[in-house]
Amino acid sequence: MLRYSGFMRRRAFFQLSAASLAAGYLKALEPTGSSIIDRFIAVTGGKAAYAKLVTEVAEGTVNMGAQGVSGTVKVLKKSGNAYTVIEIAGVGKLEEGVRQGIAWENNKITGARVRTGEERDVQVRNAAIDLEHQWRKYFVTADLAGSETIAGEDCYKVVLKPKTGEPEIRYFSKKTGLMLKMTGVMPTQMGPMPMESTMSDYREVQGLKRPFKLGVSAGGQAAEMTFTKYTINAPVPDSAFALPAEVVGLVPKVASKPAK
Amino acid sequence: MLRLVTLLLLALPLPAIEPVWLATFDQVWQLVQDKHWDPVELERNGWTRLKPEFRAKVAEAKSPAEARGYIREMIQRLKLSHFHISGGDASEEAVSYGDGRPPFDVAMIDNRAWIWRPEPGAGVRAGTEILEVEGVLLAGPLKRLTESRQGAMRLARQRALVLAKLSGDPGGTVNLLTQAPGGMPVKSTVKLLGPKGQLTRFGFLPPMPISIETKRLGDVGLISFNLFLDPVRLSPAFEGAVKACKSTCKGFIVDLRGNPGGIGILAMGLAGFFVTQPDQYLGTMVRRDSKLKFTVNPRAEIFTGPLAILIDSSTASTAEIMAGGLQDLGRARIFGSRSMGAALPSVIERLPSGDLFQYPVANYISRNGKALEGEGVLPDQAVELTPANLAAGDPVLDAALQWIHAQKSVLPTIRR
Repeated sequence: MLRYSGFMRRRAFFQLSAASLAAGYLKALEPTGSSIIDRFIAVTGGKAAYAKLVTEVAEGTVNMGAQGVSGTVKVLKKSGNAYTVIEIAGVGKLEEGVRQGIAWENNKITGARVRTGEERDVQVRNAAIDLEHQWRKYFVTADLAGSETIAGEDCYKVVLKPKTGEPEIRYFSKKTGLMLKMTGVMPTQMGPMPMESTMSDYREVQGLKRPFKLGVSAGGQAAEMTFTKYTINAPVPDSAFALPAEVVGLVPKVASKPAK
Repeated sequence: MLRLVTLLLLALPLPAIEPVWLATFDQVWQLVQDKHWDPVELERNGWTRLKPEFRAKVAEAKSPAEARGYIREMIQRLKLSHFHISGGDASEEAVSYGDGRPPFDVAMIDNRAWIWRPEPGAGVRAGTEILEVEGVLLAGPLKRLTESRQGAMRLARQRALVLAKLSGDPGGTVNLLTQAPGGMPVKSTVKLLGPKGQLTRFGFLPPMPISIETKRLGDVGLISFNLFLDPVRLSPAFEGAVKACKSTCKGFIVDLRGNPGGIGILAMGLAGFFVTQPDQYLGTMVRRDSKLKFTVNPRAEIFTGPLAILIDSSTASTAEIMAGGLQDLGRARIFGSRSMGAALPSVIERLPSGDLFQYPVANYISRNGKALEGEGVLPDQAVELTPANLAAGDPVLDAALQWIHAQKSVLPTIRR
């Protein structure tokens, strides 16, 4: 029967301690979730440029190539209000928006609806013009949760926990600092839906870097949005965020209470 | 030397099937492997085992038709609906000779085709059996379908086959041999009508005529439509029909006979014209990564009186989801015959070969916990078709009207 000598035990102890110290030292060298996000802000324009952000307008095309479906997309954001419209031949307009805390959707397939609960909270949060650079207002923690390769790039995986609801997971390139992917579970009328979006083709728009290609997959379907026009701080009238007539009639009936 | 070259050429193996067909096979197999909602069930059906078997067959195929046939055979082993590869040599069932349609509908009774609901001036009578089309007996092809298909699916396929044989160019003619019960066979010629409805395109689907009809039958409103597509026209048509009925209709009928489905979530939206309470759902779509409820979204205009839905063996997919869901909610009474039982949410993609591949990506479980696939929706009031009642009119519609008129007005129609 083999026995470890005292020397061997001490040697093993020191080796183990050295390994632990090394691991701890390496961990200390790793960035934090917060610093990764702050770096993203820095490489996409910097805090000063973000602080000047008042409006964003992006227009382009949407393509679900695998199903042969395509159309146009327009996204507007201003001071906590937002409006998105996708128009597809054979389906018509798919609209959603936020106006003064009222989150809504409208289309000819499922009709008009005012969103409530967690679904509303997520939509209102995503409408915030300062969501990226003032992320601490909306998320309680941002924790580094490892690394993954996204589109051939080594990325940090950061888990952001909002005040209420499901966490968002964001992937930032170690090399460039840019966000390349986001995943999460989206609350919808039909139930929680796993969702993934990818960002690429970053270009500078008036001092800020913005992704001109956005891939989205949810519910087993995938779509790619390609923006052909992107403006920052152009005048956008408040009327652009007006509730459609179909939604106006529904608003008094719905209490827009945040999820508990 | 020439003889040697000829010998050499004869000795060469026949060219293998083009690589695009192996790429097509691989894509079909992988899509099912990745997207089937129940990997365990898929494996139990031997999906992994089927790959080398059928890949080898496709590799040895001598023509695109043969390669396509093997791929179809492989997916048919899963015995599920909504698997379809369109392209090249369609099966006998699917051959259509043009956009023209006969001036009457076809009802299947006991594996025989009968004329039903003829248009005015059609020159044929309802309740008459169609024996031959263009000199070809229908009995043989219809019998072959009884061997390969069962139940409501068989009836639907038989009807589709007969309608295909009756098709042609609009304005053209089709020669028939028909026979009324107790009568002699009679030859006749009917003129084909143009497609019914407005052509609509969506994705890879070919342009399809979408017909939407609304009418009043005395104090009962009715809407019938052939596909769950073109929401830009369909939703407003529903809204208009409901609005027109709101304080003047005793009941409402939605005719889903012959409707093979379309956009799945449209069932949620259209059901919302008849359901007042929020957070109701028709059923659940079960995907590999999620379960999503077909939640009904109550509309601004809602009809709250008695609701009848008409179905038959050709009612499928989204149409079954809407009918079955409203039945399970206790909101609608269903009339007619069992629906097709083909209710799997699916998508359509283009393959490397250029063919379109439709495949299901989820199972659908009704609100009452049953899989609609293979089962269909059972009517609350079955209406058996006979040559006699076909000749008299529309027995299914009549049954629904009778029920509506027998209802007391318990709930007032909401004015909005």
